[in-house]
Amino acid sequence: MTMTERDPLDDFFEAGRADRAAPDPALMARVLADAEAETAARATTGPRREGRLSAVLRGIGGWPALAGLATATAAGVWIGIAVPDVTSPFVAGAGYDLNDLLPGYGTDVLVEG
Amino acid sequence: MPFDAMTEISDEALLVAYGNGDRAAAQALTLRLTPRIFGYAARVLSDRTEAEDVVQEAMLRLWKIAPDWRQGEAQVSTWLYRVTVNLCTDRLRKSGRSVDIDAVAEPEDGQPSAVATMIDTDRAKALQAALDTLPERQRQAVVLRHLEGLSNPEIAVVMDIGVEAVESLTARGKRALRAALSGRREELGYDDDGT
Repeated sequence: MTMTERDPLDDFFEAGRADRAAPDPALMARVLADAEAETAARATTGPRREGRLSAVLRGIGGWPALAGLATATAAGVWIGIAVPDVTSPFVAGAGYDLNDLLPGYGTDVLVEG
Repeated sequence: MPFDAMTEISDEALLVAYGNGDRAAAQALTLRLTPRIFGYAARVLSDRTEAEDVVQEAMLRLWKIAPDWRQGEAQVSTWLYRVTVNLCTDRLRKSGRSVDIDAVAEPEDGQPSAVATMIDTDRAKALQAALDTLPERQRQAVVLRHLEGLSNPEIAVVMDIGVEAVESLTARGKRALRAALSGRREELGYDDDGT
């Protein structure tokens, strides 16, 4: 009798671990083929998705051009809103008339002609 | 990267490398992980062909998740065992070979079992036959603990249960195995006094 009582199951577990089933080379080959196929699938789907966006960007000159386009658009909107206030003194301001700016083409000429 | 330089690299680093298109990393992972989960699946399903299907599917899921793998959140081997356990459970339930854990009475020592009718005296086969009589969850827990060498906390993650539940499953599983194999020890070359 041993000093420490050994679980009788341990002998069976030991035998079980030694008798571990090993995969066939054919299974290993199939698993590796799946890995290769998955890599290939990612390689074909990835760039196509990005290609459309990059094609549009290339057409307008890339990201810097897109930023410039956005800035120009915003500036245009701002100018469109602000211009009437800025230019009104010159167009219809007190003390100025068309004769003051272009005397030869004033209303006097039109009346005499 | 040379293949023989990868033996020291972690599973996670290899998986990330594979996700970035490294073929040698896929080869290293295949050689490292496939035998592990195949040993488990063959033991639990008791069928090589079904085990091969499960292993191929589990590894395919690993390949698919590689580009999105979140580093540091889980161990690759634990994740893979979990997928394999779930696939094995599905197989057992679909094939009707799953034993309802609540429908099985606790065996008593000395009770005759399926093992007693076996002709083959191989110890590993006796263990396998005894494992096949266990309820599915007990069988999975015992195999993970005593044949695959996982710790109880690892098994808890793999089986999505608490550590106490793991301890309960393995204890009940071992008690059933002990009962099933008790009459086989002398026949298989073991002395009853444990020497």
